[in-house]
Amino acid sequence: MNDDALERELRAWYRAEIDDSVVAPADLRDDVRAIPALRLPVRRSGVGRRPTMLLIAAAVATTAVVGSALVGSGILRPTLPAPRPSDAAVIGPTPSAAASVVAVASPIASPTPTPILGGALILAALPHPGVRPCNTTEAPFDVVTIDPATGATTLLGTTASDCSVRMFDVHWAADRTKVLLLGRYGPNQLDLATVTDAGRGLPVVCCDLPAGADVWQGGGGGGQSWTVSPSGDRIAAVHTARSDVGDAIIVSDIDGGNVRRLGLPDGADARGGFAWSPDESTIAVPACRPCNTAQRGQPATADERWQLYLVPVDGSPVRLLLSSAAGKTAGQAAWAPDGSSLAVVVNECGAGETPPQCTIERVRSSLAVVDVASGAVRTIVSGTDLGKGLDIVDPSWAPDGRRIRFQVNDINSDRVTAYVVNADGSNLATVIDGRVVAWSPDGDWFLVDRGVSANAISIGPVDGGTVRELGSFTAVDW
Amino acid sequence: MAERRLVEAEAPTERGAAFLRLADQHLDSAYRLARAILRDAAEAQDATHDAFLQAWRKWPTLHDPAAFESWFDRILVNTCRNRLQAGTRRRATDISAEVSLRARDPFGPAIDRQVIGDAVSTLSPDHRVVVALRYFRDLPIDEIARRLGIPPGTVQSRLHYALKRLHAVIDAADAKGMAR
Repeated sequence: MNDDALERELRAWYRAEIDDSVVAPADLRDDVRAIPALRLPVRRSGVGRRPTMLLIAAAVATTAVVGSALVGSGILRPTLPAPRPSDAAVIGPTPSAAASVVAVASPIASPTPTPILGGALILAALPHPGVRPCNTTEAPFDVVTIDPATGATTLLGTTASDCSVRMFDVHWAADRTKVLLLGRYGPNQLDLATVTDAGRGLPVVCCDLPAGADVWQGGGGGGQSWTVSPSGDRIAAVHTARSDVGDAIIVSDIDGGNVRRLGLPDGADARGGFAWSPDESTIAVPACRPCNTAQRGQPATADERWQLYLVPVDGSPVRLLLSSAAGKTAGQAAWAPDGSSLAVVVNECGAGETPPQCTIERVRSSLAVVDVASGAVRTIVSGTDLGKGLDIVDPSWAPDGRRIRFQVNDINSDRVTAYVVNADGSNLATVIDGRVVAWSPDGDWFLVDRGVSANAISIGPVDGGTVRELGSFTAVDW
Repeated sequence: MAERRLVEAEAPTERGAAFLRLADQHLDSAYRLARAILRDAAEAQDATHDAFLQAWRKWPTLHDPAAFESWFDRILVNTCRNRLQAGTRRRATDISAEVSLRARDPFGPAIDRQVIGDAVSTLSPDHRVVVALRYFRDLPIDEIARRLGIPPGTVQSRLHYALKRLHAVIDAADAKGMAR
């Protein structure tokens, strides 16, 4: 059966399964009609919450007195169980009961007696076992740390049993004293919760994205349009005006305060994966300008060109770092650890084609390094190295700045392969077949989804060796 | 130039009336799309409700009521996708055992409908979404790209992968003589 026949069968199947006689059930209609009258939970943290956020970070390092303040503020549940002996045995000395809020938090940041494989514990989320799923949202989630060497897990906490958090991503803050739990309701909301100890029931601390931020999941590998800053204190998101054009970057504190709008040049449309600089002073923003908005098969409305803008977070003028030639796109920017250069994916369309209406089988994907000071561009993995139909995604730098990792989608075989290359383009090598979901802090290990079963994650060394299964997790970070 | 913003033009009760007007108009088609992606009626009902709840919360970001369908579709498909992502994904398994239990109609469609359904269920969340938007909603590639906020090339790539997967699963069933 060829594609045309399959497409006909699919359409017929959908029509047979769900024809126009299928209508929303009466109780759904009633529930939707009742929505405007609902009192929705207040999520945005007000001014009073911000000092509490700072207290959370400070509490980890200082005094147990703050713990009672955290409880009083509603951030933590008032009754906390004493740390389990097994947890204390795994993660450090048994804390005193009075200091449980703070002391149990400290093992997240304090060093263990022996070096941790990969440089730090893995962070993960998985559905809380044995709990009936919530009616309209996901089941509560356990947030755990994982010892990379042994696979042993330590429970940090469980999200609220009132089903108010829908887990999607977990992130270590850069200093690893905070864990950010990112939940999402469709594309336009980001709920954040922070946790600094092993108390049960992690409440949502804050809140919606700032007003005016309309974000979507970029997809295609590395194209998310909201990003937490390296320190975990701020968030950036693409702002859209009419017709979903990304005309600015919105930056705010992690709780939604101090919103700042950083406008892009007129006619620019930000897509394709922006990135905070390591020092958080600048956001690298790939955008088309001008942009071709024609439907497929129609004449192009513009000779689309791609630009790489450097947008200072302090509101200083935007700088154009890179401008692509005709028929090429540039996106998925990734900063080198020292901030001196950026890795960028450049996709070249087939002859005579204008982005974004490029035939995927004719696109050649390449990886370039751009010097921030001079704007000089060096191609380190060329489209001819990889061939047509091989799509580079997710570039990232090893922490020593000497190597760049990336993944390649093969549209002809449904394979995803991770690669590593020296920053000068030498020693291009495959790492693993499968989708790498996280690299270790020391750059020597990876976590990979090999598609074996739902959410199954494996761990392996970058430079070759045994890959072993770690478990099934909804989200991971390292 | 000031943007026309729906929220600024309406008092709260007017906002509620505007929301209900659009929700009533689009509820059935939204539910059908959720059914097409999730297949399970109860899941689709929950996802549809969640999506309307989010639409209400994000009402100020709807800049033009004429764009409600695409704006809301984006919320809905992401809600459905997230449900698929967080749930258990079916492995690509041999479905011939299930197919063999069903009655065979020699004058029926070229491919047993259940085979198609089972094959669709083996797709990843991303692939199920693009397949539903393309073959259930009949949207062109660029409209799908706008709904999902991804480049059209990525939509094409996902459809390409999805059809390859469907071919593989259906061919496997066919080889066992169970698909027809």
